[in-house]
Amino acid sequence: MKDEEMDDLFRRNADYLADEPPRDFDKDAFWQQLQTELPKKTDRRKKGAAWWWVAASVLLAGMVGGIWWMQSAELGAEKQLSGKAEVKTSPTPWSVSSQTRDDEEKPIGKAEEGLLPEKEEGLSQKTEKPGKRLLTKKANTPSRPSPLSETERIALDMVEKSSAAKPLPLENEPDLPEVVAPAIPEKPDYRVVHINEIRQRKQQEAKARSRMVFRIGFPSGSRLTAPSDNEPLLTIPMQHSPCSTKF
Amino acid sequence: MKTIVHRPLSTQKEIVRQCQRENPFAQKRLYDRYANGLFRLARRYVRNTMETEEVLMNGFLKIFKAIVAFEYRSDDELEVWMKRIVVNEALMHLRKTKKEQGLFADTDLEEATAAAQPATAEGDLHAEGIHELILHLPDGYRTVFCLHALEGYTHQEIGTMLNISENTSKSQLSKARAALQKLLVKNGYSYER
Repeated sequence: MKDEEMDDLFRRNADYLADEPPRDFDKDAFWQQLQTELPKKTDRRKKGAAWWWVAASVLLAGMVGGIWWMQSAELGAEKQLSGKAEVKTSPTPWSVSSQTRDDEEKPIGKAEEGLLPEKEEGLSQKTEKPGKRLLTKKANTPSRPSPLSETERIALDMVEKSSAAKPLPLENEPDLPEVVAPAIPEKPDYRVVHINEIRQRKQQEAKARSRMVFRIGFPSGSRLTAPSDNEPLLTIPMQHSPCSTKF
Repeated sequence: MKTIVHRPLSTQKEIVRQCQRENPFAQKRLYDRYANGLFRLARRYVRNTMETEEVLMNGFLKIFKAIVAFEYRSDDELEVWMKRIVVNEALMHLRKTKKEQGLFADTDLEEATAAAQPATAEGDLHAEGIHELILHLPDGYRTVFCLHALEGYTHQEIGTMLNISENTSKSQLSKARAALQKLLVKNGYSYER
């Protein structure tokens, strides 16, 4: 027998027996044993799920931290911007109001031309220190005759202050860059005010209120002639209807 | 409540795909398909039934672990891949158990063939009997003969696998053939041309 023939004999024999169940092999029992040795899929899944949970929580924490950090950074930037805008915009109402006052004061200033440079110096100081404005103003112009009454002047002053608290439109500030005054309508602008100024304003408001009450009770002479003042406050219809309860 | 969706494991490719997802049903199908053949394969290298089962157990565990990275192309390739794993396991087992006496120790041919008995009481040599003749060969002869004649490995590959030279592999193979021929004659088998 040749070598190749012998090899072929055993090879064909092995192929023939390949699918035949061996006599000394219990297939099902062996599978039961093998099943116990196989790694559990559920355990792996649980471990995998645990790792996924850990990764997800870390990611979530990172996202929340990132969002919080970004918001805080934005708030800081907004604060800085608003602070800059306040610094840039706050002198303008004072300068505008001082300009208007200058316009009002021009006839007086023209009478006393020697005081003009001093006034200019005073104005420049006013623009630098707005808190001292009222005092210096009042000190400079105590005896100025005004066509308005004192209560009206106080009311005008209050209106000016309230308008000064709000940012002025950009038409009055052509030189300012766009970044300096961002339009944030929702957020109120705050201004640092000395307590004396608030007290003074309150006193003025109290005075104005009391005088307003006085004015309501006793209208001025010009208003006495108004036809609306002569009308009765309450009019009762003269017709009488016995069935109706309404007047 | 979990719902388990059973997909039909109709094709071998689908079975492999499900085995890669550690589907126990697919693993059982794969086991049912190849368990007998792989047991016989391991049995050719390891004489003892218990040791054969141990080899097969390790082989299947490696198969189910390594199948995750297996790329299916054809049934034949899958079979060859699984056989190679089991053969490697068997060789590892042989190396471990035969470490002391040596796998390729000189064996007396007369002594090796003397214990061979007919497969059936009547002395008929059928397929099972021929297969069992291989088990009467010494370990070294049997291993080289199985690897070369039945599995189709070259002498160079066998030398690499068993850490022996090509000439040693060739000499072991010729000795295995001579022993088998003697066993066949002894059992009344004559090859007709």
